[in-house]
Amino acid sequence: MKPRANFVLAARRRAGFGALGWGPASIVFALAATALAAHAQPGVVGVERRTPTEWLQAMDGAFRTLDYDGVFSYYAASHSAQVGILEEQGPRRGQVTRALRAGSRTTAKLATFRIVHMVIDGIERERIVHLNGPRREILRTGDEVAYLLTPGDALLDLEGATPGGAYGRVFARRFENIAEHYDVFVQGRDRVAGRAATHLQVIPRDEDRLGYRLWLDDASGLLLRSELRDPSRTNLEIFQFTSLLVGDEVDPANLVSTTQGALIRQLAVIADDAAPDDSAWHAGWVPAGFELTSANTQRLADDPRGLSMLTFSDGLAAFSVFVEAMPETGAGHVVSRSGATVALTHMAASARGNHLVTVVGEVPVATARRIAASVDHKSSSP
Amino acid sequence: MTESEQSLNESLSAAIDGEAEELELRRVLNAVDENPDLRAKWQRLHLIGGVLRRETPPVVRSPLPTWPADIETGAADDHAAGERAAPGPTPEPESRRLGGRWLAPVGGAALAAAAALVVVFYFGPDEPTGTEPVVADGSQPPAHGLANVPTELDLERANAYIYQHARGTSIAARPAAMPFVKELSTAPVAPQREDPDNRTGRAASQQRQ
Repeated sequence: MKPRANFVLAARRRAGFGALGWGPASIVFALAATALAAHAQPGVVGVERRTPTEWLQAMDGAFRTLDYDGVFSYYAASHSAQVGILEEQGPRRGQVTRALRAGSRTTAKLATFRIVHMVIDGIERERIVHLNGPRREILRTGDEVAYLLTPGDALLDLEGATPGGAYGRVFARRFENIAEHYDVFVQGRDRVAGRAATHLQVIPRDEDRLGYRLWLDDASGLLLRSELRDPSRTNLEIFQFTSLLVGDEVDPANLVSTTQGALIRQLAVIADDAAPDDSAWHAGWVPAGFELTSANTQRLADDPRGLSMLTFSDGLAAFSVFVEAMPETGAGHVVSRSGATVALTHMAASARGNHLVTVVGEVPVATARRIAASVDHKSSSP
Repeated sequence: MTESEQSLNESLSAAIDGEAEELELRRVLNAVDENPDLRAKWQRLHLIGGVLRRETPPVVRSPLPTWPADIETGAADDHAAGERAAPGPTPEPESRRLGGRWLAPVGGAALAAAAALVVVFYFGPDEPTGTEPVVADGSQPPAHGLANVPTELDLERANAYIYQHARGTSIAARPAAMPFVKELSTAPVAPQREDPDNRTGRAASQQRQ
């Protein structure tokens, strides 16, 4: 793909949203009007009467249907437990003293973005700009997503190494089942980015998922701040708007990229239908409530055995399981965590030889480990 | 595996997960002192939490362990020396093979850079053969083929999967963060390092043709 300074996605619009009933702008405005009406009389209409599930649904709808332009920060903490058993020769021959060195180190990254989102003629338009470091933008028009990256950006390489394919829409959030696995309640009122907000707590009912604290804009239902927490209530990721415009204040001109000399690395399409499950592998155990949302096998040019990818979601969290033939030279035992995302490797031994299993997702490490250990070839199951 | 070993493994697993209390860790140490077999098993254990900073790629690139900065003793040096003497996995041939597979346009340096802020726990080999993870699921058989020492390639693979997961779920699976955020912030935000071989750009351009 040749470098291009500008591009037009509008001509490539697809009918996806229309077919899904994302149609008339009037519906959008009606939703917005409802939300704004609730804000007009806080504590009287709408806001206080929403159940937590309704709040989540409002949040989901607001992100997709409202016009907004804001700057937000994304903070991800990586925790490393450092444990060392230090042996030293004691004063007497043969005596060994052992000292424990244990501690944890937290590193963090903070990224800042601008997001502009509008629904124009029933078509969702979105532009997300990475404000630190190299220019990175994601532009979305309807069901098409384009990456706008500058030459030399490491993300370009990573994206190039990622198999193409459609985004699945199969992650349609199933908030109605959330209450089975999370305790959701309104914690109270607060203020974020200068706006009145309702603070929700989403506490997992078991130890196999992460907890959330959410602050939703009273006026629009938009998520103003979120925190993902591990079972020890340590924040793993924080997302927060620092400024936000909603509704008529949003200028469509800001949907247009100003990045010069950028590459469009890839155009992806959001698909309605998941690919058929052609994977030969399955997870023998996943936490209750997690359902398989996509499964596919990526055929690789030089390795016909392929790479299986299974993705599961409970409506809030998701994890993916990757299975491939064990590399001839073996693989290392990796346990890593970046923000709320953990990745760990496991070896599955079967009559078909050893396979490398990698579990990646927003679940506790112990849960990921148990999932990985349960992965098996389908033919091995009763 | 004895109950004691099982328990110790669980404790160490908890430590890895950052969920172990210091008291629990001390219990591990005491058990090691009291049981000769366990002592042999754990004698050379050290767990390193290495933070893969973009500024310090050698930590990523080398399969050799690095002690935390606060452990600065002769004993630690001896450990390190011992590790250097031990044969470790050689990533190069596999790297090339995989390089033709799904890391084609990437290049080692680029992905090492993209592994920013990935935290890796390292287990030193507990036996001369050193192929069994010191801390594994207690119910699992020895994991031959899963080496203790993650190589650069292992980290690249894990990072690529993290990215692929983020990409695949960013549309709708993360209500607690804006879509794409995880994806966009996967790779480092600092300017790209120079790629001495220019493998990245060349391979990428070839692939695009």
